[in-house]
Amino acid sequence: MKKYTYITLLSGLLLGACQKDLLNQQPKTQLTVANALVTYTNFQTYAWGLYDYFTGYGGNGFYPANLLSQECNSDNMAETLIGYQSAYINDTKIIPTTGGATSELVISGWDFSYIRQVNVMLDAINDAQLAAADQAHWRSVGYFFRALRYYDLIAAFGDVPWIAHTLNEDSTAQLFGPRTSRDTVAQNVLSDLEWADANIGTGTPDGANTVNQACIDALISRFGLFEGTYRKYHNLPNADMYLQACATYSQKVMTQYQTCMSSYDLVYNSLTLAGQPGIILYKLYAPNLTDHEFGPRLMGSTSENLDMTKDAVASYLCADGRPVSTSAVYAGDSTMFTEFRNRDRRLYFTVIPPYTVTVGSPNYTWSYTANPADAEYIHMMDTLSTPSNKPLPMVQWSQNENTGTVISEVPHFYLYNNGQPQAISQLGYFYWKQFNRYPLDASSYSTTACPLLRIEEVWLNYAEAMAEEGSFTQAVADQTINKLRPRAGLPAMTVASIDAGFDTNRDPDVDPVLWEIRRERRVELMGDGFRFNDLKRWAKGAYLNKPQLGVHVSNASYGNKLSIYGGGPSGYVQFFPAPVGWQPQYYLEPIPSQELTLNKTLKQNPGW
Amino acid sequence: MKVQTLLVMKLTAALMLAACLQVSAHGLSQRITIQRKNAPLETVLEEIERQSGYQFFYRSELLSTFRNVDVRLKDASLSEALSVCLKDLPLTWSIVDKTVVLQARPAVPAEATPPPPLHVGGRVLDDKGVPLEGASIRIKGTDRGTVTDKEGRYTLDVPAGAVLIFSYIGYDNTQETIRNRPVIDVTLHPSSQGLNDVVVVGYGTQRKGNVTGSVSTVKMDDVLGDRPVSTVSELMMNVVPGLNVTLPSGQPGASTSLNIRGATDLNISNSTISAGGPLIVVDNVPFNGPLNLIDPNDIETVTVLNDAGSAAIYGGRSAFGVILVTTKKGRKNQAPQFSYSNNLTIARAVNLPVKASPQQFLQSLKDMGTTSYWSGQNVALWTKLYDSIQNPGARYPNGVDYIGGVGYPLVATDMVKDLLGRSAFQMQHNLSVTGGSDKTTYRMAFGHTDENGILDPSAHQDYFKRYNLSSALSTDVTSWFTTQVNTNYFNEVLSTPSNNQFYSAVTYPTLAPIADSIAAGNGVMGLNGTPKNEITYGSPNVSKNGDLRLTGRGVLRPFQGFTLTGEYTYDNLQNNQQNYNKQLTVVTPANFQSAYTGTGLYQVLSQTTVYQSFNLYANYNRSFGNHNVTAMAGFNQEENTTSGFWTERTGVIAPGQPSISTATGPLQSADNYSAYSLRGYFGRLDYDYMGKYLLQVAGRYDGSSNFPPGHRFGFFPSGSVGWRMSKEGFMSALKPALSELKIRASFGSVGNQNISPYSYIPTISGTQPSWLTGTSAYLTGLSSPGIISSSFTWEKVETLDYGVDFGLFSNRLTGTFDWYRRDTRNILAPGATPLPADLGTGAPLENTASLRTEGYGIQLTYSDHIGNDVRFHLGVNLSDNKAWVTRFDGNPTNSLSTFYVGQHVGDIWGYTTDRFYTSDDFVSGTLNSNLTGGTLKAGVPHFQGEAPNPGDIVYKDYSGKGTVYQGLNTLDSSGDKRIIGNSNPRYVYGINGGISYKQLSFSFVITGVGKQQLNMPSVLTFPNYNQFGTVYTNELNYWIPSHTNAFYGRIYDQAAGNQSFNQQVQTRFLQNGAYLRVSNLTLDYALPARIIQMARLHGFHVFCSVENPFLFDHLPKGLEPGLTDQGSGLQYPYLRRTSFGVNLTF
Repeated sequence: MKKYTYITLLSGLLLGACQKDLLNQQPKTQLTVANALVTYTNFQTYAWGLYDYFTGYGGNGFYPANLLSQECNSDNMAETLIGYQSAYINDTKIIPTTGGATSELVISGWDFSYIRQVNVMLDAINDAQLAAADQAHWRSVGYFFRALRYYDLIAAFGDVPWIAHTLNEDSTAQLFGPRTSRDTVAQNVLSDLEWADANIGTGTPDGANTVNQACIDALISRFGLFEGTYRKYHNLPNADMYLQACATYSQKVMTQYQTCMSSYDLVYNSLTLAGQPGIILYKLYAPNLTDHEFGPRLMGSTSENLDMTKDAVASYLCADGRPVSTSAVYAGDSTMFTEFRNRDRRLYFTVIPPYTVTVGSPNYTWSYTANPADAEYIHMMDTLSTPSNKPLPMVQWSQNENTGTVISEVPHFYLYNNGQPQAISQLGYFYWKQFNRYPLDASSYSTTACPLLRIEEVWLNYAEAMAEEGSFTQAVADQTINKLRPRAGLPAMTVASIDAGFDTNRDPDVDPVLWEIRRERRVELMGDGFRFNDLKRWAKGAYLNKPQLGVHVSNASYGNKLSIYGGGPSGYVQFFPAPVGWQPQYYLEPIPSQELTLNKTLKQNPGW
Repeated sequence: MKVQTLLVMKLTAALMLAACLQVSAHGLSQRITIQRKNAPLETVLEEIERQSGYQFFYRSELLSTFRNVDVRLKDASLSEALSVCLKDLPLTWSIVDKTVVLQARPAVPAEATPPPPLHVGGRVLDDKGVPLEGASIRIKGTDRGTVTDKEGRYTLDVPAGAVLIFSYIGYDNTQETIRNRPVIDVTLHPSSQGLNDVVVVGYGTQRKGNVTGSVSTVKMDDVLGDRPVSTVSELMMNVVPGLNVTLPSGQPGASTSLNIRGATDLNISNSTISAGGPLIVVDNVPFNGPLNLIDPNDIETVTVLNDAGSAAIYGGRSAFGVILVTTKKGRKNQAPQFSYSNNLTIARAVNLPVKASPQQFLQSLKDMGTTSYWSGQNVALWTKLYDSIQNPGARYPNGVDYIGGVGYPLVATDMVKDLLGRSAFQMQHNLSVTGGSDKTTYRMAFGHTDENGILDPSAHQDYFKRYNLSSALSTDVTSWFTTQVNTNYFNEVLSTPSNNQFYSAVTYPTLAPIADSIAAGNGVMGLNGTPKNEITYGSPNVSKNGDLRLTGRGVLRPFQGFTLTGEYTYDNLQNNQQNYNKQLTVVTPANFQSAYTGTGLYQVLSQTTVYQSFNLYANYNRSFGNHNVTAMAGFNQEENTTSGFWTERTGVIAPGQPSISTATGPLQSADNYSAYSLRGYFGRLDYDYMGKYLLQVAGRYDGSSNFPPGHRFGFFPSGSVGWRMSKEGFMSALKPALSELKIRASFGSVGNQNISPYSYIPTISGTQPSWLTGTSAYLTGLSSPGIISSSFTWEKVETLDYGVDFGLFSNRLTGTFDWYRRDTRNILAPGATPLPADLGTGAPLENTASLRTEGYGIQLTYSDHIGNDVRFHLGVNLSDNKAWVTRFDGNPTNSLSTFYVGQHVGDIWGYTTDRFYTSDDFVSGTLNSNLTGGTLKAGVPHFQGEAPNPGDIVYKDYSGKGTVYQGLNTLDSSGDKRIIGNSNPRYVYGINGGISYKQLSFSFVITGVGKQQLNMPSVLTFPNYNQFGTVYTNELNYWIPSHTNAFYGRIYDQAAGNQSFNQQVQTRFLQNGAYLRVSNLTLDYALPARIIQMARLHGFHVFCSVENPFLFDHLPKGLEPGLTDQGSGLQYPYLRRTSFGVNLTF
């Protein structure tokens, strides 16, 4: 009998072990839309992820920052490493199979994941426990970020699918449909932003340095100018509407922000930009949290070459407010020393000025050479810069900026480096706008803040929009460009004095005043990632056909190791061969080939 | 029920007391008077109990069968009363204190007086007539016996009619009944390789001869021997055909991976075909920790279930085979036996890469056109200095001369040897005791492994330690009920240096100074940042695993042939890690710059995995005439939850004592949780007719929580058949040679549920945005949910297996051959067609891809002896497989960057090396004096984007377009790329053997791969491989204008110029990965029997063993096939371990 009792007991155990819902396992450290997007705070939390579209100066281990790699697709700069010449310059641009980049101010890839990320939030608003005003606020924030992404998508592809809601695998009409026309998409972006301007919470509801009305207006200013001028110069309709929007909303921001920071250098080299005049939005970095390799680390590297071009350097005005072609104070470019004399101060903060010193032992010490001329810009930078920013001579990167090796000579050529392979340049114009001597964090990275939206850009947008509308007057100049001139050490722009002879190097197709407005934009926003889109909207891709030249040298001084443009014992340094030339189809990016296979109604952009 | 149990317990206690106290019945005083007729014995005893005041203890069923008794007693003593009452009954009694214990009397021979003993003698011979010395003869049912002498003779006094058991190791036992014969000669036959051995199969056992699936069993003691190897995985390398063990590093405690029969699945996330691991089952219950937690000394056998026919019974996690580990247990009626073994080992790396000499290094700089080196050294001056100074080591103790503030290192050094060239001490100890009574068996064991690695052993950061404590206890509670408890605790500590700079050891040139402190460029002396110093002065990452595993099991045998087993296992695996990447300020020996190394980050991680499993299954086994049937049915459920957290902080205040609480940096932390559960119902039916025709069918209905509701359950059947041809009458003529022949076939399908839990729920995770609103902490963000298909279900793995088992010459030579084909169907992959990017996320996973693996395995074993003193054995196994993608809907364009149909595992795509460019390829006069800048003649091909120079590599221009390129990187348009090789190891073999002469034995283990191509570009295989590269002695044959018949093309300063074009994946630089490795050689001496007896021991061996003594391969020195690149190509090599030890039992 007992054995059956045992069996009964075991069976009882079995029944006890049979939990009914054993196979129903639920996650505990992950959420779903139903419980993640309910309250105001939930939306705020979700939205922090959307801010990552602003890559700023980059993150750990990614260099050069997006804004600089964009500049290298223009006539401003070159990444002077073999194989790194811009694909738009040497005609190696090819049709990708899939994907591409998705971050701010980068030539966009055919990627809609960010749109989806925003739409998930927008679609959840109606079901959330939010007051009507809060619903409107989060919709506005969502519209801002979606517009930010669509701006880059339009800039890249023209027509793009307009995706207003989260798609799923059954959304076949959208997934396999044609692109939405640029007219509709741009119109949607503009009206979304205008709605957001009217409906976003007032003040800074989500704390300082978050998306607010001024950010939305600054984005309309940027987008309006881009879309308006693109339409104007590519013969598309409704240019006026976008230029008007640019003007209207720029003025709105200008009322609120009337001054800019007094130091151009500190805009790019401050640990924080909180409360600084003219700063609308910036990206904050902090030691050991989020940091970037921009700044001293890679500027002292042996393998990252970023050079400004001769053409970009020549665009800086001289101290008399006139271009190098007609200035009385321009000393010529026979050497880098003469070339840099009496120039727009922004040049000294962007390109390292020339000098020569004698490096001592230990090698963080130095002394002047016997020739006082070698120290001209050392003395000048002592007056323009603080010891923690850009004093000369430059020291190469090291953990302690006071004991880094002193770079003995600028220009400091890769091919003639005096045994100092750091901070080298191929063209001689070493870009150092983000260089400073602030301490690095424990990861040996920098934490200077990156400006994202600032009044200087809005002023330039406004000035240009007014010029395109034929309304640029001395009053507009005084409201905008002339606010930038004092810190550059330049006299104010006098509109009346600008005539056809003002700059003999001017592109003859461009109105002399507009030429000067574009110059001011190029110089002020040098290195900020705008130039490639600017050239596209002006239909001036041909500017990339100019050879990318460097400093004028006598090759004998550098062991005859440098390549001289056109050959000969002296001349402009050259690194990359002459450009193959801009192609008309480059104004719009090619759509990845796989997308065309998957969606037969999708048509490739012309020329590809 | 409860009372009965209590009684049983009391009885047991009383029996124990009785044995201990030996109390007799003397001194009883109480008198008893009873008169009863035909009364039940129980009633009589109750009366005695009442009168005497003594308590009776007995099992109630003990008395139930006895007839009633007649009793007449007056004033009898208790013992008198008991004698009368129990007269003629088969009972004994004993008295303990006030308790009378009744027991059944053991059966004794019927004869009242034993007949006189008989003197028996004879000889024991083997099947060739050779006498066997030391064969044992035992009288059945007793422990009396003797052994044979040198001529195989024996004599023994035995009771008439007794049975003698003759046994000898390696031979089948033979029994002889005496039947008054004075001379009994016996011939022993070599044992038939355990065809009657019992093989463990899922939820049961089977006779080996009846197995119809592909099952390989390995006795762990056979593969372990005396080897200084502490992990099961390493011991299992190339032992069983088809079981692939990957040991990617020689570092102590390095994790290993196991795989059965090659590629299993597609890894969608990184587009690689993966070779997943089998399910590890220990004593019938899945084991979640790494297999290496288990001490090989505790393992009896490892059984590999290769095919679905045998593995499917374990359900949802067994799709890619099962490894069954059976642990050692005690045996009944065995006196306690202790055994102790140890292994003391010196380990060192013997195969290290060799840097080029200083002259060769300086010459390579000149050849590349480098004039100025890293920290400004003028190469010409440097060469002059080096050539002019004799004995620079004496002149420059730090190895460096400073000229004009520039350091010129002048002493030849070897950073690789500095990092990996040291010897380390390792040891193992094992102690166990086993034994058993007639009801209980036990085994308890303790093992300890302590292995130091070679990364600066004095810094004590590179080590592995393990402690194992295990016990197995089994008790027959009744004749039909057995309980078992297994308790195991595994504890391991793995420490690895956190700042493990393999890459810099490789890339520093031969002249980089190696002194402990050197001067920075600014003149300040500092710690020299050599890779070895980074370890010595750095700190380790320490990972600790603790696993507590408890199994309770009850086995019921209510009637003949039926067993019911219930078992429950609780397994708690705890992983704790402390990782500290200590920050050091060092002077970098490449450029004399002062720099930080290490991030200063201190991390604490903790993870707990709790696994519970419950099995209930019944086996029924019955024969009807020649029909034998075994049926099994059962139920299984498992639940596994993993939860953990990590936290980290920089800014450690006291680097010698890092902690989270005392660090100052921003605090970061996160947690994780995941759980899955399984439930399965399974059954199996084995049938055989006369042991000749064999059939097995099994099925399992399985549910997994990893699938969406409604798609959770799947039914997976399997079956196999076998024919033991050797048992057929028509085969009898062949019998002398062909002793065993079986052919078999199996087919089965198994579900695979190995996907991440919750895949059917669109989840949102916490993220860490890079956006900050303050400088002290990260914000928390939320990810957006992906698109989830609600209809995906089990992947299905189908395996077809044909096999032959055979034995020749009385099974001295046995062998097994298996051919198999495994189809992994319905692999979860992105949907039927990828969706346009408009979707904004990846297409949902659906069951839309398939993979096929085909291969075979052979195993041969031969064992024999020559005369009485020489015995030998040899085992050889070989396996091979190929795998290819048979369906992948997600790649309509056949892009080569993801899976495509027809893609084989290991395919290497690359270009075909043709020749070097010569000056003749260029328009004359266009080349400058450096032989650069020339214009190619028309028709000479060049690589896309390349402006070639003489000395650069010309690739075959298959497309004839003049441009070598990769086309659209699709199967149809691959440009000039071809499949130029395959890295899948082919013809994987293992050979093991041994020979013994008397007390001395020698054994060896060989492993190898017959064919394999490897593309392993690195600093160690290519001169000046990258900007920070250097040159090795095997890389000096590069192109220079005066040596154009070179192996490598032209090299460039800082690896710039066209070097990247010369480094494309191409035919010339593929390495031959075939190799033969002698893995172990062991010499063992067993002390002779008389010495052992004098020392009162059972056995005493001393041995010497060498692990990895020889390697024959085709790779450059310092590289070994199968090892992981730890940085710039450098590997942590397998160590040559020379060990000594003893092995004793007592």
